[in-house]
Amino acid sequence: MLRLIFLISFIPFFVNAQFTISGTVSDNKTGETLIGAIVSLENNPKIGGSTNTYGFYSLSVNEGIQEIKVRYLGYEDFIQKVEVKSNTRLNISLIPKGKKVKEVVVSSKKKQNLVNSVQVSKVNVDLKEIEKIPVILGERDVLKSIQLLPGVMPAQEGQAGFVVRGGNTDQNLILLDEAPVYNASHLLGFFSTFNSDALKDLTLYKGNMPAEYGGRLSSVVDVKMKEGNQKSYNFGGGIGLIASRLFAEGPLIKKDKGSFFVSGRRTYADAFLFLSGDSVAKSSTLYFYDLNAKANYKFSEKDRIFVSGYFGKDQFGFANLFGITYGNTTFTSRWNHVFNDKLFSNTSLIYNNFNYTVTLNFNDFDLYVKSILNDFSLKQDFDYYLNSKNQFKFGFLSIWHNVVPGDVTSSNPIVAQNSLSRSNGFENAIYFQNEQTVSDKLTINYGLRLSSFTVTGPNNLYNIDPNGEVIDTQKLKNFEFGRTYINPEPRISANYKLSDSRAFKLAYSRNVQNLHLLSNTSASSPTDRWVLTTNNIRPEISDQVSGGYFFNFGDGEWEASVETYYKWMQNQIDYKTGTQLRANETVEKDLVFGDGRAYGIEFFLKKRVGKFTGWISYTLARTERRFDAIDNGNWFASRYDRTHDLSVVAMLDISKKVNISGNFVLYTGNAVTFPTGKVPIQGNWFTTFNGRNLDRFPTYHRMDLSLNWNLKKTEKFEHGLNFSIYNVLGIKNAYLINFKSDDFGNTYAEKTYLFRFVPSITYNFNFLHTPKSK
Amino acid sequence: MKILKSAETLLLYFILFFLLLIFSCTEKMDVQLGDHKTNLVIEAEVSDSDSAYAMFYLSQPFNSNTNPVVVIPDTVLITDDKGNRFDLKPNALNIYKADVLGKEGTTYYLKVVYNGKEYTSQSTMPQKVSIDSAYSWQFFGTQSNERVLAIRIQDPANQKNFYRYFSSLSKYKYVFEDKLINGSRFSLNAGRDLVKVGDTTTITLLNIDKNNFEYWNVLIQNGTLSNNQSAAPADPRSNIQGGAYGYFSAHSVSKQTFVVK
Repeated sequence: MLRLIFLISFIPFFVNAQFTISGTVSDNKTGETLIGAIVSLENNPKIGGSTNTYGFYSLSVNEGIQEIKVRYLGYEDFIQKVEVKSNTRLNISLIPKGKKVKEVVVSSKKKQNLVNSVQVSKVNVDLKEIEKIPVILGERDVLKSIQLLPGVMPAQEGQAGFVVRGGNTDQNLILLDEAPVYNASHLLGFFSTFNSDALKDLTLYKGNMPAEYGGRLSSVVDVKMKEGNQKSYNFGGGIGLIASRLFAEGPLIKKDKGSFFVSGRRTYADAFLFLSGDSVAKSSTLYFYDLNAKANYKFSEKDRIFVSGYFGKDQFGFANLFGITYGNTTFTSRWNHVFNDKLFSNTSLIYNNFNYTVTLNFNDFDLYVKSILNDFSLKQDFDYYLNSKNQFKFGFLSIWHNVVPGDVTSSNPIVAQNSLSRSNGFENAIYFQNEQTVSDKLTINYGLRLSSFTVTGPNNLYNIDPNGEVIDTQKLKNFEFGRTYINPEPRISANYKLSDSRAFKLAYSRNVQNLHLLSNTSASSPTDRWVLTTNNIRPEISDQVSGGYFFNFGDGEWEASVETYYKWMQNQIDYKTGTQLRANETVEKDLVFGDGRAYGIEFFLKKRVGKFTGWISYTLARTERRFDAIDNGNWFASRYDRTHDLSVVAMLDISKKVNISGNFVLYTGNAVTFPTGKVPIQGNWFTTFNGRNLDRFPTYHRMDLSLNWNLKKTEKFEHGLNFSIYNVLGIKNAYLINFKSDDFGNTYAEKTYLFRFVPSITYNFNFLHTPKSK
Repeated sequence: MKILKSAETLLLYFILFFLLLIFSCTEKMDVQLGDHKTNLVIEAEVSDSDSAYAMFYLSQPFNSNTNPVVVIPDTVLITDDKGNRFDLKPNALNIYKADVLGKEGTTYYLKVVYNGKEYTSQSTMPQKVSIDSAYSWQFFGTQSNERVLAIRIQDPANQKNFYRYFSSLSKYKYVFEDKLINGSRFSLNAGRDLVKVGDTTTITLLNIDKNNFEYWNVLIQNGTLSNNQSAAPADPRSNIQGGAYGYFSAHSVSKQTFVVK
């Protein structure tokens, strides 16, 4: 009997009853939830995980006193002892790193992000760091800053459009609060649609994304908007050379329960036109604006609702004669629900719209063309914290795509008949993924995404013969389903830790894309045409294998990585010579389909902390395409084949108030087709060509400098100035190359270059109002 | 639709123009170009209003700065589907001519022998469509004495029509197909060059066949000045068999001469 009591009293120690600690991690000052904060046990760091997109975490721990530790870049480490007797709810708020505490800086050095994360080819971009990088005309731009990372390259100088690992510009899924943004740029691509004031987090996946993402081949750029300050009202903005910005945020209804954030930005590029003195320029309109708004409210410990939206527009006009307007609208409403300590759910309803209109009105001719791309999505995600070794996610996504390629209105009945047929598509995906800690050294994230695309009415399906002529047309009625494509997309990523500071990672993933951009230019143009998968246009498919070695040194002050990848692409799209992409009802017959391959090696070295920070990134890569109809089916270099791509970023804190930064980029010019010969026809020289993309633009290089000066910083008010110079070396980089002939019939090449020594100055300010606590 | 496409292109160039106006400069540059293999260039036409002619040149590397090199073939011969044969004879400028007027619906065959190699081609003269009226108008923002030239056409509904047209005051050529406006009355601008009030001009409209339309469409897009900003250019598909550059076209001609007002 005594023995029995003795045994029973020890059972808890042997069985080690497991309970769950869960909650959210947020910023102590603003109440913003923190994404990706590392939550672990101080005495057993193997038991740990990171907060999800909504700041939620869940740990399975043993009964007893446990020491919880939370770490997050830019914040003081948090340590708290908790007595765990049952499932425990623990909301944690972290203190932003101030000037006072110095010793914590040392401990934060050991945060070894790159080494610990399971995903290879994933970059979490520190938006505060990006603020210091010099940019053109003083407009901070996250989409341009990520182009300084290895494997990410600008489509062309000054463009927000980018290519990742030899893909195309349309193969990047750009998400703003889960809503896809189709044309993430303004002013023909010179500025991105992302107003930095409104952004909270940006994560980039270079092709090997976990199964929860899908829909594009090359990358995912997952951007989250700020939720707003839950504790105090805050108002700020900036006045720049080309644009001004304003934002306001604060608690909503009740402090610590809800918050809102609104921001706006408008450019005044037209001001330059008035300066030009040109009469044509003076009667023109040219501007863009962005509005971001977000609100959230915690109805209970278990339920939280978010509503967010973006609205942006570009406007060009020329007296009353013609105008072009384009923009994106996104709207996301989300419901977070914590079912229990282990199961977290998010349900999103998403609407996004990209539209452009063209108005013409002159010489007894009028025309109004409207193009729209609409998506309605329902997305459900579950995070299931199975145990300390397995973190499971599953869910589904349904998207209704609606494409209006061009509705024409005109008082001329013949012109008015030229509306292009609309098309619809129904895209669905289910996925599961598990992040499993196999051993102390090995962590694997594996999953499967099963995606489908159904061609849906109204839709015109063309049967096309081998000569490229339309034989017959099958018309799908409203909501009538046509062909369905189903594709399994396996994803796996493994991290093998050689030590605390060294890791080897390997990944494979297949991605599928059902929306395709038909574009003739590398500059982003609003009239580029998006088409859905049809009976002729197959889903694009890519398979990417990548591996990398990641390490830290200097007590975590430095981190470095070498990554390599190989990517196969199927069903890539190109055009027959002389194809008109716009206003072409049966554009499908002018398309050709082929393969792609891309491979490369990426080197990255970064100094993370200290007065002097920065990085060097270098990529050696190749990307090629092959089409039966082009160059006799031989491989040729893709337009974005850049052999070398080097970026250097350096930032130095001179004093508490002043920091300077600079960046230098150098890359191989785009692959292009230059003329090689000329023929006289009807008294003019016309050019002749050898093969596709056999020539190169000259190597591009540029250096920019910037200085940030904090004029004043108190609890209530701060303001500062930013000065920058773009292309400080004044390099005449070719933006266009034209081949011309002079009056004597001599032919020559002429380059057009932009942006030399472009200076800018921006004034930023911020008022903080903390209501007296009652 | 051509009008729509041009309108959009116009707008984009308009935007680009302002960006360039503010920031850009141009300068001549040296570019390393690929090797060019010299080849025969054939330009041959049969029309319903003038003698048939053919001209022969050699293509040149892009960087060479010499005048067009005229060459003399061994044989230049045109036949038609009715069994007629016309030998073309060179004049003092080595332009080969034959007194033959083309007829609607007739197919013409070209045969050229040069350096022992044979080149052949064929073209069918389409139904004739004449210029309804030719006129000029002022484009917004241009000088008060500058005009854009235009023609009006009544397109026949019974068939596909392909047009090539140009003004005597400009080096630019234009092509147009009736795919989207079949059977309607419409206007075409010859808008790349502005003309002055008081100038006398002749606008010529040719009815060409489909192969020639496709050839000229690509040739014009490649441009006399080639812009590598846009789609990857390639040589247009010539209707000449045997591997020469150039074209052979049988077409009807409609002309209007007027003083720009």
